[in-house]
Amino acid sequence: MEIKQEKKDEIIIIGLVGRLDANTAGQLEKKILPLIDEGEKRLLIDFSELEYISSAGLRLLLLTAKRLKNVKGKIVLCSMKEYIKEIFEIAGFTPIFTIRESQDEAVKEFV
Amino acid sequence: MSKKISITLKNNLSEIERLSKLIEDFGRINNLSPKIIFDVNLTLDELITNIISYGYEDEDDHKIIITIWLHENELKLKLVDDGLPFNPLTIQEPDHLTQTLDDRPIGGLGIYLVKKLMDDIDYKREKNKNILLMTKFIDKKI
Repeated sequence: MEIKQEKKDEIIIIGLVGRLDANTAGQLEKKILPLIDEGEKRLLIDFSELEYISSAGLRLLLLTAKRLKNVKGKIVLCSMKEYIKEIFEIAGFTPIFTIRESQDEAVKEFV
Repeated sequence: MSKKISITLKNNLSEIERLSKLIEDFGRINNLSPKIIFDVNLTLDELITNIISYGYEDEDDHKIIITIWLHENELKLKLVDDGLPFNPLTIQEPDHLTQTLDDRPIGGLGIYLVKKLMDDIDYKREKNKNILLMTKFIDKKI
């Protein structure tokens, strides 16, 4: 998995490319959790180039959301493929996460 | 490659990505939708990740054998491993799916997703092997 990272207007934008599974979730965890520890509070995760997610990826997103909530931060997800959105629904994640169709719409959630 | 493939994996998590590529090829050749391909990948990933992570008491090499075939408008998946006995059908549905972020425990979703995505699951233990036979109904793309 490739992880893209940029910062725009105090928002950390993470772009996931490829597969987020048991084999790659650790890689993302090592990137995201230190950012929160360093004080970042606004996290946008762009799924547009993510082809695949398993329960190991869902687990990490839930952990991230909990950590951010503890520091009064916010996480927004965007640009999910239809079949990935279905997994979020089955897992009961849609009421927990803010999910937007595009990165532009997701950015507005932080205003 | 045709309407039936058989794949043997080693008990190493990096094998799952190799499996996914073979499933994608199989799906493309047989005109399966991206959603079906994803559901099959996720199902086998969750089960095999479980087997590799919790199924063995030794450090030895083990084989996990996957067979995938089409039968009319059903996609069949067979998974055979020599790990500890494990029947996913006995795993209870998590009761925390509607809880708020603060109350939700992390994890416990893998087998639940498998049960939701497959239309039929049959388990048996034979000759010290777990044998799972799963069915997914498909609407073929025209």
